[in-house]
Amino acid sequence: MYNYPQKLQKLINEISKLPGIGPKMAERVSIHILKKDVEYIDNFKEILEEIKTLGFCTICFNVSEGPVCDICADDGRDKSIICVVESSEDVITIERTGKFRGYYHILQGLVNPLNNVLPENLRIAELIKRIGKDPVKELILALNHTVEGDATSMFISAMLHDDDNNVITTRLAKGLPMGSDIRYADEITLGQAILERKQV
Amino acid sequence: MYLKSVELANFRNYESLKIKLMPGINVFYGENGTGKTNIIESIYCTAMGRSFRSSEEAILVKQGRTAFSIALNAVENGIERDFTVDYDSSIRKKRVAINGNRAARLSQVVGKLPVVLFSPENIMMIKGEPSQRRRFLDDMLSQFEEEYFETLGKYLKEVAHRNYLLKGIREGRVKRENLPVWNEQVMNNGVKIILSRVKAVEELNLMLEKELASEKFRVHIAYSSKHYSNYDEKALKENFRSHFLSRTEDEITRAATLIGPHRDDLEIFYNGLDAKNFASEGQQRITSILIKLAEGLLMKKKKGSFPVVLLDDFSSELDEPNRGFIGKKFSLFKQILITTTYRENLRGFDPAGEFEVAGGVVKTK
Ligand SMILES: Nc1ncnc2c1ncn2[C@@H]1O[C@H](COP(=O)(O)OP(=O)(O)OP(=O)(O)O)[C@@H](O)[C@H]1O
Ligand SMILES: [Mg+2]
Ligand SMILES: [Zn+2]
Repeated sequence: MYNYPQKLQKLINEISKLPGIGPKMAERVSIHILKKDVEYIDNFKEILEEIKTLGFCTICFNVSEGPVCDICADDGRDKSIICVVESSEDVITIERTGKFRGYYHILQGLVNPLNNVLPENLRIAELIKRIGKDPVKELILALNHTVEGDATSMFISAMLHDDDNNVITTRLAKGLPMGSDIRYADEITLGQAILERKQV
Repeated sequence: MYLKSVELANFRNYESLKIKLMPGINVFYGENGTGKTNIIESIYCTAMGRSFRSSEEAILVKQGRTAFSIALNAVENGIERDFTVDYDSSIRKKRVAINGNRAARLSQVVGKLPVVLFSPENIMMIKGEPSQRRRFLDDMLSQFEEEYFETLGKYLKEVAHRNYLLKGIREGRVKRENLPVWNEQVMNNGVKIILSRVKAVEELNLMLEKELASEKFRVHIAYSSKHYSNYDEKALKENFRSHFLSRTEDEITRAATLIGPHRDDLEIFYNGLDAKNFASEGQQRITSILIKLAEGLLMKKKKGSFPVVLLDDFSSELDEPNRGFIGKKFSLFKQILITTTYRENLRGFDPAGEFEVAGGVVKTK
């Protein structure tokens, strides 16, 4: 049976490992890249090379150029409030609403036993430590209203209670439909959900 | 609500089909294997987001083709609505839309075109496994409330996560401290589901008594569980908590969540006796039809609009007086689609539309 040349197969295989990209899409993307000129590929290579220097903020675990990200380095924000999100994309989404002036904490995932992600695999312990240090009064859990988002919220709330502190935890209000993904919410809805967040 | 038209392209044995339907009774007759059930199936798929015969969408695509589409035009209080389903098996993508607006989630569609399906398989709700009775309740409640559909989906996933944790604990990969949060989740959504189901069972019984009982048949159903009998939120939560306290070892050994709505059942009584063990074949059939009729009436009450009744394979298995009795009950609905092999099976019915089905072609009579 005929198949693509092995070099192309390797590319397809690598691209199909990316999240949200199935085998068909991987083929399309690969062939698209193949059709481009050398300049395009060199440029692409350079971009990939450059992101090697990126890492994660040691305070909030957002993507960052240096050990501390721009948000954590900004002293003018409200230190009493931390918004807890699943990933760096959520920071961008929430920043765009213009409704939030506190700091962030990026969990780098959600609790998901079926995928072998347990609380210890996330940045939850670091969050609890942060709360002990900073003058934090409120945590907004801006996590999806999904099974995994709910469970993660419950783990964080439970760990906070064990720790005996006076931090209020709130969860983004509805307005966000059940089972919905905050990344796809429009800015108005998301902005509203931040303002109407509920204590959990 | 009633359907004005059905259009199919490359669905099952139909390459292309366009039919106009009438309010009232629409009869499809034709020999075995001609495509009668396929029409019913296309409507059910649009309403419920999946078939009742197959869980795999690719099977619905006409052999040798890669994509199918269904387009239904429905009328409610003079307002028309278009329901469309497009499935492409090469990318395994399904698009469901109402009036051209694509639904992001299935829960936004289920219940918008209320249907009640009567099929020969219904008798399995009497004879079959508990899962078949749960399925009956879940399909009904999912059409009643968007929230039920969502909660059920969440609950089943939570149980799957919890079972996998139990397995991990058994194998020593996972710490027990993981369980409490999942216990709480399973309990919260589980109790919501149980309460909705119990309420629905009460309402079904009311319909069965008030609208559908006769001297000959009295059908009654009861929600049943091994773990609880007091259907009060607080009492149920107590049950879950004490179960998780005392049975966790057993759950770890079996890597299974042993309490909750995914293990509950219905008891069905025919004239006071357990229908599974005491009713005859015909009596079981009538019992299941009466329960489905109760579902239809309840759906009308809840949604404020008539469900479309899909009556697949109207059999001549019922004796004459029973057929008369049941036939009259169907006239309580606004639109009924009936399939049968021979027109003569529908003596005494007064169809508004008649269709002859032969080998993937439908002729309006
Ligand atoms: N994916 C498909 N592509 C083409 N034909 C199909 C497909 N799936 C089923 N069929 C055909 O559809 C026909 C069955 O249709 P259907 O189940 O609607 O029959 P029916 O008229 O209800 O028959 P019965 O009276 O036996 O219930 C069969 O001939 C079958 O081969
Ligand atoms: Mg059939
Ligand atoms: Zn930071």
